[in-house]
Amino acid sequence: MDFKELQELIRILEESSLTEIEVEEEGRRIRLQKPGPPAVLQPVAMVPVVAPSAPVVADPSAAETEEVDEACSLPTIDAPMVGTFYAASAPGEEPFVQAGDTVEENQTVCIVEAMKLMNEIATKFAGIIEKVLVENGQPVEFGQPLFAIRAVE
Amino acid sequence: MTKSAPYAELLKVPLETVFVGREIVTLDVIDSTNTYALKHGKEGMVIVADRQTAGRGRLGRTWHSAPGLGLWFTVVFEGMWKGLSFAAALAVRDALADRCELRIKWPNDVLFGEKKLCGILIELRNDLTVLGIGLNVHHTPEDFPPELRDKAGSLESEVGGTWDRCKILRDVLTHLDGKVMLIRKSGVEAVRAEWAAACNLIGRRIRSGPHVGTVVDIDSHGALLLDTSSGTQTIPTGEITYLDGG
Repeated sequence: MDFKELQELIRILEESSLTEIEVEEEGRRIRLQKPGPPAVLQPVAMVPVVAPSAPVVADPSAAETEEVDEACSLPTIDAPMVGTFYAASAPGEEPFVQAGDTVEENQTVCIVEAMKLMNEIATKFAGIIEKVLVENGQPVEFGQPLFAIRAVE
Repeated sequence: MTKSAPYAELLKVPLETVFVGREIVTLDVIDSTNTYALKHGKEGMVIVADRQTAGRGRLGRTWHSAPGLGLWFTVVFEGMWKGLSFAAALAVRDALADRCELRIKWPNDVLFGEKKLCGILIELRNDLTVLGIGLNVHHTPEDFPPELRDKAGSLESEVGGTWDRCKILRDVLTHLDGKVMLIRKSGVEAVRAEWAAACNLIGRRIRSGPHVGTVVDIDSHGALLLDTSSGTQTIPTGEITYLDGG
């Protein structure tokens, strides 16, 4: 990215309601932030609604919102169907993955179940699980992000 | 191909199916037919074993598969097969319909009266879908562990008479093939509607976790749509309690 592109990026950030932009290309990451109240709309838009038992609203404390913001800027592993999210293969077992874990391509990260159809969800690329976005046992919607994952070359 | 005596007949006379049973693997003993299928499965393959040493239910529960007493088999599909849960339960019910009236209990058990005779476990991994069916056939009540005796039964213990596992398997595979071809041709809706009618839940008042309401429909994933005081809730799976008796 050259200076002109960077200026353009700053302009976009200033003129938008966003509080943060992060761009990664050729191994360099540029993150721009501006002060101001966190844009609450953003996480709501990024995490399509969600189990009735786990409303998104909650108390958007600054720290928490920022964390969600960052997670939302990452690629996600999404639910391929409506179902129940299971973090482990059986109750009492260790979760397949936790935040901070390094995962390989095609590694099982969770199970989504509907009608005793146990769908093992696997990664499409190697990376680091940045955040687990749903609780064990929670109902999930089609396309709902389950994990934020940071790709690793 | 490994031969196993109880299912030798299965290999002698080809099935009259299009898709299911293109290849049949019969085994004397295996850890679990689903596990075998996830490792070695191919489209349309059927794996049947006389004994399972580690038969599985959902979420790591064990499926009690006593040697020689039941029908333990898996059918393999490539890709994600919507509607397979519906097809499987209906195929088992229909295959046995000339001798007994089985009922389907949400989310996906097959019962005679109040006793569970058949369990279905579908697993998806790497674009391979394996449909495992366990059907209790020759068990006496004493063949089940004490903690299961109130809930589990077999065709012989509940319906009575003598049953031939090989014939049952042929019939279930034939019916399953019919349902699978119907889904391919007409989509999930045809089997969904039939299944929803069979499980007899629409209009029932139930509790599922914190939600209480009336079941208004069952969606194409098999989830219950529950009309509650706070709007419609989707219940994808889990335990339910009937609040209207019965």
